[in-house]
Amino acid sequence: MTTPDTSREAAASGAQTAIAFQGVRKEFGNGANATLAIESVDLDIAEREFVSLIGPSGCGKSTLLRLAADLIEPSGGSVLVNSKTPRQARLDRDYGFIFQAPTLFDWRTVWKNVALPLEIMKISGMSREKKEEEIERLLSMVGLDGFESHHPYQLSGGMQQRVSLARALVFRPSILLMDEPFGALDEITRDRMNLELHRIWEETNTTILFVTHSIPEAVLLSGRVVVMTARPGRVQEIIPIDLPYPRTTEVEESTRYYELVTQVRESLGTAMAGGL
Amino acid sequence: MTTTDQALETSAEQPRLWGRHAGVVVPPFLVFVAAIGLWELIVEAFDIQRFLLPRPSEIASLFVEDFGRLIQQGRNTLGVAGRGLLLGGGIGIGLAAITFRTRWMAEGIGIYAAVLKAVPVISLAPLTVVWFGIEAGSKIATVSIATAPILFTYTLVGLRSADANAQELMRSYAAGHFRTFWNLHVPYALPFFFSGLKIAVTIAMIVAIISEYFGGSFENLGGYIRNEANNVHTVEVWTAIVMACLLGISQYMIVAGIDRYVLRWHPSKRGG
Repeated sequence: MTTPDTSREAAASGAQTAIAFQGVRKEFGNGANATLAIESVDLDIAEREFVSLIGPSGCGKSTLLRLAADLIEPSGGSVLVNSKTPRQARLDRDYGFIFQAPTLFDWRTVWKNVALPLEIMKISGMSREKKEEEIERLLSMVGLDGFESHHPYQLSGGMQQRVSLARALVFRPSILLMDEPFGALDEITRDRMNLELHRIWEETNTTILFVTHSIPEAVLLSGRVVVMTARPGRVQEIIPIDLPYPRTTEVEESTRYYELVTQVRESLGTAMAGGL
Repeated sequence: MTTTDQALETSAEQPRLWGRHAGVVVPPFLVFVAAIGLWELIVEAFDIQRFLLPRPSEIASLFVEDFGRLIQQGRNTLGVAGRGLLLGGGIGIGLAAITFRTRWMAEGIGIYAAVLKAVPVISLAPLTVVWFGIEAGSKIATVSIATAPILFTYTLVGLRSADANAQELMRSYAAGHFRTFWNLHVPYALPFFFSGLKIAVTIAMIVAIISEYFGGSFENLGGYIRNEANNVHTVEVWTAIVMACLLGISQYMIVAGIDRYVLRWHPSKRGG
């Protein structure tokens, strides 16, 4: 039997804060047409933590993610990413964002899609050979050896999303913001991608904020699951997931796993009832 | 998927591939031959006078005889059409690139582009003669006025079609405006640009020839047609028309070929 990784727990409780939401509020539109998407959200995510956001649709999970990414700005409260404003964190290329759609560039090969961030960022102190090595390493990590010169349309949806994952990792951001990345995949592919993502998370030192509406996915992957209420989104409950690492298929079959899935489901039920 | 793509190109599949093309090429060719034959027969049977409708065989033999001169005249007309397209396209694409991020600017110009596309631009030809003289300058100007709004509209729509997530992705990389323009908006604009270009090359040729009807040198297809028509040299007029058709079709095919090559990644070109 594997035991919970204590160092990881220490990292989750004591270490530096990677993302901090404080009294965050976000309104879309203005005047009479304004809708309040999220209200008074307080949430701290520690470095190297894997946190999932789950909640009824329209609860503002993606809004939180996009606030952290500086794709939108909060209407109130503050968001800090690596102790900086999200804008500064974006300019410093602190995070990688992964969308539900793979968002690959059709005209580029797999290789060139992964190389895109490096082309744009002109990372200093990284030689051409080093970059090529890195791309190669990541493509093999996501299981795409031999597909370097394929175009995205020649790949399945799961493979495309793996390219997008490799592209997000290639510039080594300290944070990954993932917006329902496997939402469009079939169950079997999704299962495999989950385990792969978890392995990659363990191999790298990234902090992951993960939006999903799959309860089993949230429980399997996370150190903590944040359950949100219906619109306007607030934090309903934060459920620590005390499952052992590494998260494998065996973990998925354990009793504790099912207990936690049930706990999240019940919390989610309350959250939705509150919203209605 | 690639394996099937490659399989299509292997020799085993060659006959089927040819067969597919043959199906596209042979029927129109037969229609063409039949139509020419019918034309020849009708002229013969009804004894139609040659200045009204000459026989295709007569046109063909004069075309061959005058080929050197026709090609020279065609080259002059193409030069006018090409320079006009370059100028008009440059203006249209440039304006689209400058304004596509600013809705009110793009819309402000877009209205006039739409108006210009609706106006029969050729009616401006006599005015451009007043402004730019009777020779090439006025004809180039008219071609530009006709083609600029086409390329403006198509390029603008294309630049704006860039995927919203992809734009956010570029933003997340803190990519500069020029980077994003070049790496994202331009590839998205290309299919639209080529659609516009295919229309614009045809329009450029038509407008160039008609502008030449309004005066100036005879050493171009439009000037030659004007001159020979005034003298009721119908066969000569026909040879120039044939040359204009051949040039028009070939430049369209060249553009379509470049389009297919450049956009081989695009869903509309991948084929099956």
